[in-house]
Amino acid sequence: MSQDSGDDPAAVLADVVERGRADGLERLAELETAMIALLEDRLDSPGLTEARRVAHKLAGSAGTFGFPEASRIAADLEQELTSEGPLPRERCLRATELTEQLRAALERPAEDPVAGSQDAGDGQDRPRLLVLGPRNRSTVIADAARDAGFDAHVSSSVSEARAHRLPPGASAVAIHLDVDRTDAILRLVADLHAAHDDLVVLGLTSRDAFTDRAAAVEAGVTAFCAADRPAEEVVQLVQQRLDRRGGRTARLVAVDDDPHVLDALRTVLAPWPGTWRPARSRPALGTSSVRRDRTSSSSTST
Amino acid sequence: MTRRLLIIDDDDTVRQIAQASLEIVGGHEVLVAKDGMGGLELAEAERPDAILLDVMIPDLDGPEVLARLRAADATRNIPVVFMTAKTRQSELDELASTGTTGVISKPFDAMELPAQLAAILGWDAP
Repeated sequence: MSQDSGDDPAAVLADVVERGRADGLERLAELETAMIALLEDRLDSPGLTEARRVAHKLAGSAGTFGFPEASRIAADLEQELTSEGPLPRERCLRATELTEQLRAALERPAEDPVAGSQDAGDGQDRPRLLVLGPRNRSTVIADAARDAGFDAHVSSSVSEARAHRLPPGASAVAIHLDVDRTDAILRLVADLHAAHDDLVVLGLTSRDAFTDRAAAVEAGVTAFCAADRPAEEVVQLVQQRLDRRGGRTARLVAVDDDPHVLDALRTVLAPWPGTWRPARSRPALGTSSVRRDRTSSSSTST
Repeated sequence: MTRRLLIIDDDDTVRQIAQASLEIVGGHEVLVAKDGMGGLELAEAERPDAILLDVMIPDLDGPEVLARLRAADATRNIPVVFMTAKTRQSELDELASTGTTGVISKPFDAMELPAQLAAILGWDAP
């Protein structure tokens, strides 16, 4: 591969990316032609398949050359064009609307696709947030996080999340827990905690069963948020948790005659491994007073 | 450490950006193919250290290419990482069950791609 821009990796990549942007606009033109045919009832099945393929390719490439929103819209368009039979009129209109949005997104100024290394110094000053979950939803959260000053990244699979390098001192992970492979996600959370002190892990979930949440807390989830909350609210919650990392003391008293309940509470109230150090064994009367102090990591039972 | 990688992707944009990223940022030697059959031939002839394989490619799709790689003595042990714009968890789980070494989602960050790949393959980060 030629390196017309000298030895500066970012400049060389920027050249390649610029060519990609031109290709993206050509693909958009193909989609616009297909949408006209769709609205006029002239788009046959192979034409629909081709339009879906083009949308898929744009979904996979636009973000790489600086248009993450275009990637997201193209992914939505691909879904809209997925059909066993002829597309209902309503979906044709929706697909056309998405194609218009796609043009608007591609005509906006691009984000710097190679900013990751060029702005490394700046990036280190910003909290880093990794959002793991369904890509569309996660991208919306990441966009809101960037608006709030985060260096935000999206992963749609556990293996991809494992490949992300979180810098020392970082930061936070917002993770969708309601997926098929919950065990893999919880292992990931535990591993992230082992590698990053003071990591904030926000679990996005619609489940409120105590056992589910206890398992998540035990793995290292530090806070929960309903999965359907607005992205800005999710980001705000992450920020609040990050702000609290400096160490605060809370004294809690748990009263219950059931030792199993007390054990469960102990799990929930001491989510960070190693911070629970009971001064005595299980309380004889089932009364537990817990001192949670992030800085001193002390706990007492009476 | 410089490795020899093979990218199989029909998308010129993605292929070129991935190639530039892996060569310039990662310091690797990169071979490219734009379809499944071409990728299989290159893999057998060149025995790369790893293959980045698009899922939706003409002629043979990604899982079929992977199956053929695994069936041939010369290529069965080459790590294969899918690159995909698929987003549904069920689709990603399906890919994970094909015997792939890992999955990288598209769009990817060009400056991070070598590190992502290294993490999946257990290589030292570039």
